[in-house]
Amino acid sequence: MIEAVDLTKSFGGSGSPPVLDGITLNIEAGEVFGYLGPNGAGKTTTIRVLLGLLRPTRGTVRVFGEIPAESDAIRSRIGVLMENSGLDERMSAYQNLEYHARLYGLRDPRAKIERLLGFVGLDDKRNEKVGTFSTGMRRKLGLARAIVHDPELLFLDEPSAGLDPEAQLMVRELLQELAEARKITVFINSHHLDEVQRLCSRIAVLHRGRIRANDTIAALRQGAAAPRLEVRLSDERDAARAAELLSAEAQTATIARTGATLTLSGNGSAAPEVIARLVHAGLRIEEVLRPAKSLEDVYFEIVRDEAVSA
Amino acid sequence: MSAFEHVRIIAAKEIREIVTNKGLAFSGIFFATWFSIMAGLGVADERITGEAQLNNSLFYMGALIGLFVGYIYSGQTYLREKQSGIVETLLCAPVSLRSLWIGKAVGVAVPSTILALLAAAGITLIAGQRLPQFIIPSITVIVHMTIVVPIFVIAAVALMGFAQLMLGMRENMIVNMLTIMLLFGALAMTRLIVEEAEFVTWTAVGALAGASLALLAITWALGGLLSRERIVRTIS
Ligand SMILES: Nc1ncnc2c1ncn2[C@@H]1O[C@H](COP(=O)(O)OP(=O)(O)OP(=O)(O)O)[C@@H](O)[C@H]1O
Ligand SMILES: [Mg+2]
Repeated sequence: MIEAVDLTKSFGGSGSPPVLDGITLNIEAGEVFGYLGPNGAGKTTTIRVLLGLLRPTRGTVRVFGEIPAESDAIRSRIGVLMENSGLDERMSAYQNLEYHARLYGLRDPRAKIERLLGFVGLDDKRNEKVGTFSTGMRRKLGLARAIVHDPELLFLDEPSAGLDPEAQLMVRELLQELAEARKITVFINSHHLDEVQRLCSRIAVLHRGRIRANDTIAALRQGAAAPRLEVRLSDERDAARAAELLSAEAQTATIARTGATLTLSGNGSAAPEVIARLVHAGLRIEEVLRPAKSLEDVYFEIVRDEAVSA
Repeated sequence: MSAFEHVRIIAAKEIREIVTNKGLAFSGIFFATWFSIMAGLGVADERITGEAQLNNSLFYMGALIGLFVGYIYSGQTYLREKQSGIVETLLCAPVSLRSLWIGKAVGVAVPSTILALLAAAGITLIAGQRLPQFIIPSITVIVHMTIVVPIFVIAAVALMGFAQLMLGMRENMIVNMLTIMLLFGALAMTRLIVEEAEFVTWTAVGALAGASLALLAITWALGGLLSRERIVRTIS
């Protein structure tokens, strides 16, 4: 549905470093794709290129098989909620939806608009000017606006930025419903990890214009980087002895002890060997855990690694 | 949907905004009234000179009031949507850039032209009060007001809209200041020309019509330079 190959975009002269540098992405129909990255990583720029608002400096982009900057036809199949909700402050909630519905060619959008206003919980505000709306209300109305023409593909640029937790939850639930019940393909820009984790089937992490990771959340959390191993022994004395033993034998693992628990990470932390060694030494193991990384761990690993190596 | 449909939808929305927005409607009416009173009172109270001056006044002021109101409304239409970022969302709609641009130009030109026509009626009424007898404007002036002025106003508004879409905010501020200076300069000149008390000739009307059509053609061609990328990259 979305296909970007070696997408590169630089602003200004050829000397300036590219904002997007060789992005390759492939998003299938029905996916909810999370596009993560710190401020200034190039998330908004990517969306703009995918929408045909900017042309790539190098590489190719296809959406629904077409070049977005050259096809007005695919625009009617796409819904957009940019950081600015795209609403006219001088018009009422209803008028805003009506204007967009008509631009997208809907003949008699009244029933549709009423239903959408209900969907986002703004029926009682239908005739109020958007200028009087809070950020949360605008975002909800912006979302209704973005889907007024039943798009197959929805682009969202930080849909929960600036919202309080309650409004965030509401926007997230609306998105969940859209993705699940209506099978819309969704591309979400975000640096809100929790939201991404709950909504997205797959994510990519963008940092300094490059994709540093691109996989399902589960796969990323299992990750290539060796995760840590936690070993809880029966008491602190055993734990101290275990630490001594392991650091003498296992060369590369880093070992940290908190109370009766050891945390091992690095090459020497393979579970079967560690357990065998400790059992052999007569130490009593209560529990061995290999905790999954959180998305946050994954994200910071990528973003920090790059910061160091850059 | 046809481009014509899009232009109609966009123009209708802009017209509705201008008409229902108290501040906008008022500022247009204020300037139109102000200029028509000034122009109406500027007409001599003597029959022959008065008639010539009335027609002259209508000829110049009609076009200038349309231009002035069009200038105010175009800023509220193109520039405001660009500054607030709404334009980015509009650019994602299945509407061609030209339809978006022309739709807004029509939406601004219609109320501007109506106010210019009302102002012309106002000038005629005020002058009529001062003259020994009520004078109906000459046929040249009527043709001018109903055919040439609308073409002139839409060409000028489309050109201003084009500049506002193409330029960054700082350049737009400079262009705005130049436009204002030019407009006031033209208004000052008008007073001198009106004094001359020459009758408005078909040649003058034809010349302005030709110039307006040329401006329209040039502006239309310039429209080919508009691009989504250019507009997005000059937002704020
Ligand atoms: N029109 C432009 N001209 C020049 N540079 C630009 C332009 N638009 C964006 N940039 C630069 O591109 C980089 C990426 O910007 P972008 O807005 O895509 O980041 P982002 O990931 O969306 O950040 P945020 O999380 O803050 O929204 C930034 O360094 C920005 O300054
Ligand atoms: Mg952004």
